[in-house]
Formats: sequence, C-alpha cells, structure tokens
Amino acid sequence: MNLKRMIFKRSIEILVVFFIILTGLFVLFHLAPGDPVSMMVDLTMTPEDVDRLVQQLGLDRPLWTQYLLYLKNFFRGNFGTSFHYGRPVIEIISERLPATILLFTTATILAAMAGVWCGKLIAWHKGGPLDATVTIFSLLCSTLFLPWIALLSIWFFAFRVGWFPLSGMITPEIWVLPNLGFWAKATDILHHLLLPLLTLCIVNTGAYLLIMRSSMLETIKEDYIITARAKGLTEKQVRNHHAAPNAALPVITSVGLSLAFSVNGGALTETVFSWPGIGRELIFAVSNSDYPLAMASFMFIALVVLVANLIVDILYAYLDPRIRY
Amino acid sequence: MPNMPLLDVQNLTIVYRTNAGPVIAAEDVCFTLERGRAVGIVGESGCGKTTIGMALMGLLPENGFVQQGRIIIEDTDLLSLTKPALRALRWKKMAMIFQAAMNALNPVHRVGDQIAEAIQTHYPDYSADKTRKEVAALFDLVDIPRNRIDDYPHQYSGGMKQRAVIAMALSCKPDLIIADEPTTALDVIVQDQILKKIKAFQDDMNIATIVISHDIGVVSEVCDNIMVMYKGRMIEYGKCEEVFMSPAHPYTVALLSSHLSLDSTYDFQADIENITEAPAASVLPGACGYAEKCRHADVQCFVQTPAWRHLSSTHRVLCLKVVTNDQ
Repeated sequence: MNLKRMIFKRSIEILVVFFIILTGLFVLFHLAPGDPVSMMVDLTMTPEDVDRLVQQLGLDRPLWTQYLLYLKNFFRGNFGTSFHYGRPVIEIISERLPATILLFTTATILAAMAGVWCGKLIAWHKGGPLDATVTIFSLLCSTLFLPWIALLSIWFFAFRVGWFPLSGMITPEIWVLPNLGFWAKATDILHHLLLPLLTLCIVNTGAYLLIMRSSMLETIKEDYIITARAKGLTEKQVRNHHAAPNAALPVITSVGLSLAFSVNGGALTETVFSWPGIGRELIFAVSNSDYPLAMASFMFIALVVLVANLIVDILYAYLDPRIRY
Repeated sequence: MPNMPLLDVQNLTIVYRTNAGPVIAAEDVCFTLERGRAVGIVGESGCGKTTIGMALMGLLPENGFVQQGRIIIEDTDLLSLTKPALRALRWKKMAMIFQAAMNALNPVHRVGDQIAEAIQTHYPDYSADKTRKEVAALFDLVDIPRNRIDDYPHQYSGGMKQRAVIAMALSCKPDLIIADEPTTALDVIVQDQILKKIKAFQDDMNIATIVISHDIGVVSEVCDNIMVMYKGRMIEYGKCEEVFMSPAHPYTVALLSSHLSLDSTYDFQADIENITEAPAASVLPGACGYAEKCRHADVQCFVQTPAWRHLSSTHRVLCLKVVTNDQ
C-alpha cells in the first residue's frame, strides 16, 4: 500500500522530468547552429523548392506552434524520417534501443551482483591476504580505461584465441537462413554479447565491490549485528541476513547513478565492439546533423535512464522500509 | 547442592589488545547470582561494565579476550565451549536486553520476524504457525498491540522498541538476562514502565538478571545486589540496602551523592568536581585506581594494592581506608 503510493508518486515525478527534458531538447535544437533545411538542400533545388521544404517542415511557423507540434508528434509516436537512412526514425530506434538495453542492463546487474557478493565476503574477512589482493585488484580494474581494455580483450579473446566473434551483435550469414529457430538466434546473440559483457563487468564490478566492502565494514559495527550474534545465529546468517541487506543499499544508489553514465560511456563501448546500440547511433546522428534521429535518440536515452532510476528507486524502497514514505 | 547459584563468575580478567598495548578492561571480577535474583553493575563510562556483559554472552570484540577466570552457568564453563556450542547456548541460556535507541533492531526486517528468527534458531522444529503464536504471546506480554508485529522498527516509538527488545530477550525463555543500559535513552515515565516489566519477569519466570547501568537509581529499583566498578575493578559489592545506606568506598559515596536527592546533606559538589573527568581504564597500577581523586587517600593508597574488607557477610569493599567497625 505504501509502496504502491510511492511508485505512483515517483512515476508522476518522472513524467514531469521527462516533459522538462522534452522542452529542453526542443530549445537546444533550436539554439544549435545550422538548420535542418541546409542539410537537405542540394544545388539542383530552386529557392521555391527550399521555401516549400521549409513549409513542409513547419519551420516558417511561430516557435510556440512548432513546440506544440513537436509535442503532438512525440505523443503520436511520429519522430519524422532520418535524413541519412531515409527511413522512419522510430524504426531505427526500435532496432537500436533493445541492443543497448540488453548489453548495459545485463552488464550493470551482473557487475552489481558480483560486486555485492564479493564485497560482502571480503569485508567479512577484513585484513586477510584475500582482502588485500581483491581490494587492490578492484581498484586497478575500476580505474581501467574501458576502450583500452575492450580493444585488448577483442585482440586476445576474439582475434588470438578466437573464442568470440570480433564485432557486432549477430552473424548475418546465420540469420538469413530461412527456418532459424528462436534458440539458434538467442545463442548467436549471446555469443556476441559475452565479450562486451565481460569487459564491462571487469571495469564495473571493481567499483561496486569497493562500495559494498566499505559499506559492509560500516554495517558490521552496528548494534543490530551484535543483537543478531547474541541471538545465536551463525556467522553466515548474520552476514547474509542482517549485514548484507543493509550494506547493499549504497550499491543500489550507485547503480542508479551509474546507469546514466553507462549510456554515455556506452557509446564508446558500442563503437569499439561495433555493437548496434543507440549510443553509437546518437554519435553518428549528431556528427552528421541527422536532426530527427539525434532528437529521438536523446529522448529515448532519457526515457530509459528515467525508467531505470524508477526501478532502482522501487528496489531501494523494497529493501529499505524506511524509504517507503 | 541445594542452593547452587545459576551464574558463578570467578576472577574474571578481560584484556583488550590495542595499538597502545594491552588494556585491562576488567580485573579480577567475582560474583555469583541465583535464579530470580538481580545484580546491578554500576559505574561510569569505560569502567568495564559492558565488557563484563559482553563476556557473559561470549561476544567480546575481536581484540578482547579473557585473560583469566571462569564463567560458569549452571554446570557449563562458558570459556571452554566451542563456537557452535556457545551459539547454541546464547539466547536460550543467557539473553541480552540491548539499549534499543542504539539500533538494536535491524531496520530492514519486521520486528516480529526478528523475534521469530531467535525462536526458530533455537527451536528449529517449531512450525511457522507455532512460532508466530509465540511471537504474538510475547507481544501481549510486553504490552505491544498484536497488529504491530509486522511493522518495522522505525515505525515504533522509543518505548515500544525497548519493549520489543525485551520481548526478544524473553523469546527463548532464558535463565539469565543481561540488561545493558536498558532505559538510558528513555524518558522517566517510560523508564519506570520498562523497569517494572523487567522486575516482573524476573519474579514471574524466575530469571536471573544483571542490570548494567551508569544510573544507580535504575539499579536500586530492580536489583538485590549492587556491584560498583571503577577503572575495571569491582570496588564495592553488597546488598542494595547496604550499599545505599552505608556506602563504604569513597567513590561509591561520591556516586551516590551525585544522584540527587532532596534531603542530602553530603557536600557532593566537591566530589562531583573530582569525578567529572572519567579516564579510560587504561591506567591501572596495582594500587587503588581512585587514589588520585580520593579525598581520603594518603601515600599508602598510591603504593599498596588494596584488599577486600568485609563489612558484613554480604557487604565488601576494596579500600584501605575503610574502617571495619564491628569486628
């Protein structure tokens, strides 16, 4: 009951934030130098053609009419046509967005889970040789430059050892086969997914592990840990049932924060692995002044980050009853 | 033996390893406790009273260890037990009432579940339903409405939390309850209710109780005997009336007078000034730890190790200056 009210409240907040983002995007694109028309004009066009184009795009109307039109189009799911691809933008987005979500949410969830699990264990054996080794190794990993380690892992695992494909998300030769089953497709994607996933996890797990470790060390000092021990619980019960749920809370917060960054940094990762995601598409669209595509990419990335944060909030409230205000 | 004590603590000395070298937190502590009786341990912060409580639970911090002495509950020597054996005894034999204001309850679990957890640890054959009924009965016992079983600790008031902690301590029907500052963070009215509860359970269930407090008033309300500690040492032990009516150790006198009462004629101001600074238990020469601050101290007090003097069969004091009047 309380949780439901909280979810409702947060959803409304997210809608408001999204509306502000939409408005901000509109303003930004109108402030940006250059205009879409100049991108579409070529030498064969007469000035009348250009005027007609301006009219078609609605650029001759007052700004607020354009804004309303922009909102109307958004809610109708009409994002225009990509200049570069000549296809509806929504088609391109619906191809790219799932690839990004698949890679980054899986990587974030796996890294957070691994970090929580390892951090919990090494904090419990604080000061031992394992603690020192893992802590230093995690520090090292979390400072690695992702594209560098990505290139290195492609060179080694894909090129030298040949365990994984070099790039991309699917093997086109396989997918053109007429009666390819679901499992064959899934296996192919998984095969392509593993290497970028591994690389992202190597870099991200370290950070989560360090947060969990220090949070766990703080939690161990709490009085309810003494209570749990006094009750006669085993060390494992105390650790997993009393210390870890409290200690994991800062990790959840940091997952929420890092999601926004992972989509940004994701553009680099996607480029290195030729992963057909939305981050790479966004960079392409911006550098080629493909306005409709860039705008829609921004919108959907914002939407994904907002929804992910909502999920993180719900998870946090689920784990910490004090948050369910 | 007919009247064998439930708890027998003999020459208990507890040492903490610190970066500045070993620190003696409790030295040569001896006392016994029968079922249905209560002993209060009073003293200022850092005098070692909580350390004794933790040692009785086998919950000393990692850097603390028992250097010598024995803790015997019924026939079991606690210090000789293996970890699993000690875990099995915890809460079933000896339970602890923690100061609830210090987050003794885990904020992410329901209060009822935390109590049920204790029951199910020690009675694994109980069904979920039976455990639930036990928890409900415990809530009745400490006057918390049953519909609060599934609430979280942050939804409780301070007094309710404290009562929940008491319910938790009673959940496995222990023989010994150690109450560490059970009422410190509570207002006087709630404090009184809580003390009455503790007293009632001690009488009804024949539970032996150790009350640890810096507040001598709290101890006097619940306990039969009082142990006064200073810098890790027991300095006076006796029946409540004896210690209250005729305190022997100068520190006890000062401690009692700091507990304001209207008809006090004692010049406590001078003594309060003396005891305002509570040093940690780190300096422990063989001589009396209170000598530096004592108004009655002379050279002897600084050099000689004090020995116990008996004022009666139940009242003893660790002070060179006390004159035993009757013998």
